[in-house]
Amino acid sequence: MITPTTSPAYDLLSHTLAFCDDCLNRQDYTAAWQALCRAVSMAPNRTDVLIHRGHLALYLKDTESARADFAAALKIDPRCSAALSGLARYYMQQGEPIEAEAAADRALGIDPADEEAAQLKAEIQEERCKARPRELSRMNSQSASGEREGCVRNEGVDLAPEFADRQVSAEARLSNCAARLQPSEVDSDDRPLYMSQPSQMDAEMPVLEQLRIENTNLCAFKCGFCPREKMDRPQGIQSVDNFKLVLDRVEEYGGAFAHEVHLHGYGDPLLDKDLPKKTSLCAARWPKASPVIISTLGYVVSPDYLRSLVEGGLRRIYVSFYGSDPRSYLWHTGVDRFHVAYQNLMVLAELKRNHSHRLAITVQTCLTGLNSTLDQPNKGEFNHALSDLGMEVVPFPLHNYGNGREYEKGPGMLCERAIRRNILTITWDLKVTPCSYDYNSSIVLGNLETESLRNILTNGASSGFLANHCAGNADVYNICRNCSRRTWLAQAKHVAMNGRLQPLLTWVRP
Amino acid sequence: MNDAQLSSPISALPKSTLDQAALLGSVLYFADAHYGRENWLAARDFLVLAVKIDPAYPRLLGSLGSLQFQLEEYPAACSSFTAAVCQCPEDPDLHIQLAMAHLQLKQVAEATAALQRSLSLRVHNPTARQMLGDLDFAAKRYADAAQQYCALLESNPDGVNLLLHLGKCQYELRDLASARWCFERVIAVEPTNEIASEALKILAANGLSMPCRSVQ
Repeated sequence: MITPTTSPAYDLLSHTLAFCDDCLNRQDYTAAWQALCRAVSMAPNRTDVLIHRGHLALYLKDTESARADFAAALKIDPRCSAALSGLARYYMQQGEPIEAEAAADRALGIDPADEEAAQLKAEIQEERCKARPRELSRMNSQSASGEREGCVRNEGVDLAPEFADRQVSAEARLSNCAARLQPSEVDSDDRPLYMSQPSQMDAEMPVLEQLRIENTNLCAFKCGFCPREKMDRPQGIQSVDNFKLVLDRVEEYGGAFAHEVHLHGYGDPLLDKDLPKKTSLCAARWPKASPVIISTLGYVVSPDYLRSLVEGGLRRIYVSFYGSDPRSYLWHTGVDRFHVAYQNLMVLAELKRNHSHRLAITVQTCLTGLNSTLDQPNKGEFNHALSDLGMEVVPFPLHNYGNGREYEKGPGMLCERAIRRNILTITWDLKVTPCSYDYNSSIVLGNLETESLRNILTNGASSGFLANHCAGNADVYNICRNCSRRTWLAQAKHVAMNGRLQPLLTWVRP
Repeated sequence: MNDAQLSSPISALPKSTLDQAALLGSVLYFADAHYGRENWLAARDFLVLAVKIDPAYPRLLGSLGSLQFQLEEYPAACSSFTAAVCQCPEDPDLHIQLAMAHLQLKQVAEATAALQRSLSLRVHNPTARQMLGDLDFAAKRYADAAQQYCALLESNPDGVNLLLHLGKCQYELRDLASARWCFERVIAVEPTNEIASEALKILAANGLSMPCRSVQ
């Protein structure tokens, strides 16, 4: 690495960067690009140079080079907010606003003054505000006409005049919602006003932005943080017919789905031999949706199985890879399957090479918050090797599964999940539950086998759950009493009271 | 062992040897003995025989290729290195050796590909970088050449030849401040260097041509 104190070539780097600026001013982007390539060659560990080149690559529509540069900068400095906001911009250009927002949030978490991230968040919010009334109107039109397919075909088409007033009312609802979040409107017991008005929130039907369809709750792992021994609900694998029924119910409720569809739950999805078929079904039916799974990869499956998953339309896989060698893996997961998981990971890496535009791999390699005294000398090297294969390597933020584990008890009053009703969680046996942390399905809002989704989301169980959470009475639910996520939202409330309102609606992704 | 015993690979084989490993061991022993006596041709013959006995034996093909390269049998060396690379695709040095053989056969595209594979296997690879840079330079791909030379600066900041090449590239890319820095650096290291002095004069006069007699 060239630094001012260690290398005489530092002056050359300055000249090269000055030349690059000159080229940019002259709009000679080819020469500017070449200059930045020379600068990176001279100083491969300088994050500012990498980020500079990443932004130029984005400008030149060379998105893969941009992603590689931002990722390289993050590899050097995982807390580089400029790299994260660059990555957010990349996701935005790729049409992946959820990932973009997550990256922008991470950037702002590190540097609240990061202008690029703040601007990006504002753009995402603006897009969301534009899209939300459209979706609400579409749902209304579906409800009025009773034609399911109409919802799909309405997309991108101007709304008919008869629905214009509904659009206005939807916008008005959004305005009201925002007004309820004004910091000045805090009642006497120091709570924002909206907390004492659950009935107004009930009046809105949630717009679904994420589906979590549990294909199985079976898993042979014994990870220390996971309360599997407490789960006594029936175990099984969702049939393909039931999976189709879930798709039908969701489509009946809100039309073709166009966001993330998580095809996993409290078990390991690879235990489901029909997972490739389900992925294909989902991708074929909802081309704009993004099928996602979280897996340990610790099960023996054929390369063809993994290939059919990717070719069937899987867009992202989060790999829970807790350990950088067989010993640490065994310590964290309770099973000796490091080599099986690693082999599957390498097959995925190869598939990613062939389908890089489609498949994203995020490897969660360590557990933040879990005190491990285990020595993992090769951990950094292992993580770098995975990054070199084009995978994103991130730590897994530990939570306590509500009452599942004793650590990280949450003294907060609120729960993001009750407010973020746009995430729908469905168990393998078709129960709708309000939260994926409810490992035992102790709160069931309804069953899709016998009820429509609209009925479930408006029934007494759903509105009662929401009202209790909005009124700060989440303790009535055993699973919610000590949930670590409530702590986080308490922090969000504090931020809200100081005039920063946005995080309440776009808080940390579960 | 006398010279007569070493005369022929086949006649030198112990007749009673049936076991393949023992046979291979004997052949390699003879190859070593000949190599030690600088009998390159005989050593090569024994290595060829060894490859026939056990084509998968590690590093055998690479050694054979090196010997063939030394004997200026470039097509044969190229074949041996190609086979060696197939056997050990993760060895960056083999890719460099293959590139050198290709270069001797004027197969520039193949050599470039082999060098790039070598670099991808080991990023810190000055030999491969230098060769790639020189190939780009010869083909007047100054931007690519400059990129390789810039990466070499860290390990060789005072390399006169490297700085002259880089200066010429920067000049061609119209990055004149960087070019001037390179030539000034050469003068600092080697005050009597004529090429650098001449280049600096031209740069000062904002000239249109660059000296390159020893840089080519």
